Amino acid sequence: MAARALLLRLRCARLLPRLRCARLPAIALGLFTAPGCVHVYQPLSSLHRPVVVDPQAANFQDLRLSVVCPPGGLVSRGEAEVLCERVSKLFENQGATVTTSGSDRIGEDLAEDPEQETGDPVAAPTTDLVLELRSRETHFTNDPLSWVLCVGTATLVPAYTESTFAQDVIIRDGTGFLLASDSLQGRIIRTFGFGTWAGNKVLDLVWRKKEDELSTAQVYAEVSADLYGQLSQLVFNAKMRWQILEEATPNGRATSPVPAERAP
Amino acid sequence: MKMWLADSPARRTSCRLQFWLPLLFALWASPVRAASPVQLAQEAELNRLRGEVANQVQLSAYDLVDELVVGWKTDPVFDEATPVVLAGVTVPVGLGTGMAALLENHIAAVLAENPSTHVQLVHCPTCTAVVVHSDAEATVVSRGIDDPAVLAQLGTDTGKHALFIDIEAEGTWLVLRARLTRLTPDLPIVWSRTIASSTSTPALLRASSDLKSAADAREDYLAALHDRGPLTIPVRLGVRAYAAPTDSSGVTVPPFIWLQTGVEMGATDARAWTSSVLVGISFIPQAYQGLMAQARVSRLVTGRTRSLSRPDLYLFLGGAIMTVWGPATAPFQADLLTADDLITSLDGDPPRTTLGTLQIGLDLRLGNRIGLSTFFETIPDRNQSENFGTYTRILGLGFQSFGTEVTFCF
Amino acid sequence: MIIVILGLLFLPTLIHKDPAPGMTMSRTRSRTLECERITAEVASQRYPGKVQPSRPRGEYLERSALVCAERLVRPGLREDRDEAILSSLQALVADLTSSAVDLHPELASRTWLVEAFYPSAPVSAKLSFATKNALVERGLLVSDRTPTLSAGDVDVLTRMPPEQAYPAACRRYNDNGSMGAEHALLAIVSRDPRETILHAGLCADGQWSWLK
Repeated sequence: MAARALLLRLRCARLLPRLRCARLPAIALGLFTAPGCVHVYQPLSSLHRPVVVDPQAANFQDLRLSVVCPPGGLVSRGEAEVLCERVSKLFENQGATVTTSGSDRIGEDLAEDPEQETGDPVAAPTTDLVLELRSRETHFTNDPLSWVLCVGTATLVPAYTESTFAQDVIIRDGTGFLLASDSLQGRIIRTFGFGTWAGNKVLDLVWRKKEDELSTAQVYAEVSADLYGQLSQLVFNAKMRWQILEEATPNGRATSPVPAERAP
Repeated sequence: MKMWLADSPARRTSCRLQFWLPLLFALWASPVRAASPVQLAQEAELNRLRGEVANQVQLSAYDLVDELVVGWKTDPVFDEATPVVLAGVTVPVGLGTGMAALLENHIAAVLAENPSTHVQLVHCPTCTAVVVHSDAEATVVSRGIDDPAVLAQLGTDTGKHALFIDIEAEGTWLVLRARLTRLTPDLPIVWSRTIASSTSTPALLRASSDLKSAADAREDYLAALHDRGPLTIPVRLGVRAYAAPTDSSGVTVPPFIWLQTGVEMGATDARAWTSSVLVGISFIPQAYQGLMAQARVSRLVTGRTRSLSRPDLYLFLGGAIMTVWGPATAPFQADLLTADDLITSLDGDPPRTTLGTLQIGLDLRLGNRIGLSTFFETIPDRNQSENFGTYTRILGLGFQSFGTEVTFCF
Repeated sequence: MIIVILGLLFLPTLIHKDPAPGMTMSRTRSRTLECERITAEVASQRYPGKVQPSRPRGEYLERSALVCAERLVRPGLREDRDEAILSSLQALVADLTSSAVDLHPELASRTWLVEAFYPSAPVSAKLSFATKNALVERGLLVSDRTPTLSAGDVDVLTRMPPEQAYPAACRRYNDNGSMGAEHALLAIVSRDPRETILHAGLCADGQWSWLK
């Protein structure tokens, strides 16, 4: 955890103004004020809903789950792979057999209906559920005035930068039938300034309860708990819906007069 | 610096990644982290919190009931007065039954005040009491309303209906559901309604004898907010007292009375920030005369918007330029003044002085119509003058004057 | 000098009220808020006293508003499952009733009965109430009556697995005359204590079918 905190501090330092004619002093200033970066996370909607399912329990025994993490929006290809890997670990821990994909390929396969096109019998789906994760930024604020004030007051007045993100979750069954979808939204605020950093540290030490402390480690823990909890709950709900539809149609394929929404 | 401020695509991408990084770090953490066990508070603390929430939602629940009755007034369910049994009032799960009793009373009171709804609450013990009904097939223990056999005994021509009301806290919404059921064995639902109110919406607190729709009440609220637009014209009467000099041989400046008027402007209808520019006159025959121009910036400190129902307190900073003349204004001159100087000056032209001042103070506003303010004022140019004492000293600046004012806004 | 520094430190809290955890907002309280980001135009319409409308000639900076409302019931006051169901009750019920009505338009002329199967009786009553209202608001005939089963039927049904119990109960409703050809029953069901969604089943003419 300490290593992660250090990494984040150095990244914060990199974002300092790059003074062309005084690079060395700038680097020195950056390292000196690196601790002045405070990250705060606030769940906006859906991310902090109550979660009933226990992500440590075996909730998905005998379930075949495909996790699809298309790159784009907020994540690069490499980051999408990391995302997929961690989410697959989450569900493997709960008993599911997980395959991952970094592209839309699984969704595209599902969109084709071989029976309609060739008249051949429907092949058994290779997976029970498909979990698709897409990330996007819905709002970004970087107030130049706050940076002017920040620099003008020797970082006593903090500079604010804010990003609002949405983690779109779509869950389909093996045939492409839409079972659940949601958009988990939150925002991360980065406050830069010695005043805010020191003020928060003092408040953490003397005033705030442990669960209210604002530290980088807390941001990791909170985002992690929210995302894992909501993903587990959404997939569990989808699994229950899928089982109900399986019961409704004895041949194992969900049918409905309502056209199934397909992957783009 | 420019590189940082420029909102170039490259910079934006970098910032996006920067924000996404904590999310990725979170995902790099072990999934075990996600399982944080819920810490249940003790039962007593929970009950206290439940009571607190019930108190908070009670007014909103009343508001929803009022809205329901307004709907019946404007669009009655029944053409004529119809007996209705209040069959059930349920409150948000977990908030206890005390609130249900309060709601029942409120419903009865509002319906009694509004006979044009044609809903006439009646008592029906057979309907609401738990009854035991036994026949050849079975013995049924239930409320009369829930037992078709009991309802059959009541007869189909009583015209009675049952009113069910449910209020539930759904996230940030308080939702009222109501339905009217005809009390016949088939129990058909003849009318239903769902009304919701957000927690961010203050209760309208409508008088039960003069119910208005939420839309009309909102119009009234906006009219009250916009009653005089962003500009108001204050007329202010104030008095400034000056601290006596520490040197006892000096002459004390007399209190100055000022009458001022000008323009005050709110940045928004909320009037969290206001600014004012006023001109003033002071005239006491044989003593002093003066003119002044004054500007102030005020910040609301008792909330984020001005209140229609309670006083608002503003903190203000301001400055003034004043010019005063007359025999009593001699101490405003820079030099130390003694009684001998004053006697000598009576023979020549009366002294005339122009001063700049800074003020800090508090202004209590009642409905944005009457204001009572008090402030300290410093005359930087006379900071070292021995003609004045100081009431207080902040950041090395002596505040020589203390003022109180009363303001009427038009 | 100290006062100036303290003033600078607290200046942002005076001019920048933020629902995110910080100097004036605890993390716990911040998590009780449901927030939505909206444009300045929408915000000025919804909150006329608090947000200024956009200038006719545009703004110097892009403006938006983050609108937050506090959840009525704080975390921990209700069971997580109840809270999850109740906080989205209207949406859940609207979804289930629309699937019943849309999938079976041939039942539109029948009288609908509603029954909820949820472990908590108060929540079950809320589900039933909301479903009846949703059906009435869709223009259907709805009755407050609930179909009944004999004590013997209940004894047998409660020992059956859910996938058999619901169809069997439906048959019994039809057989004992509790439901007739003019009735349709919409059942709102919670099948697993770990799920935060509800399912809908339909009973008509003694035939049970899962809708969602």
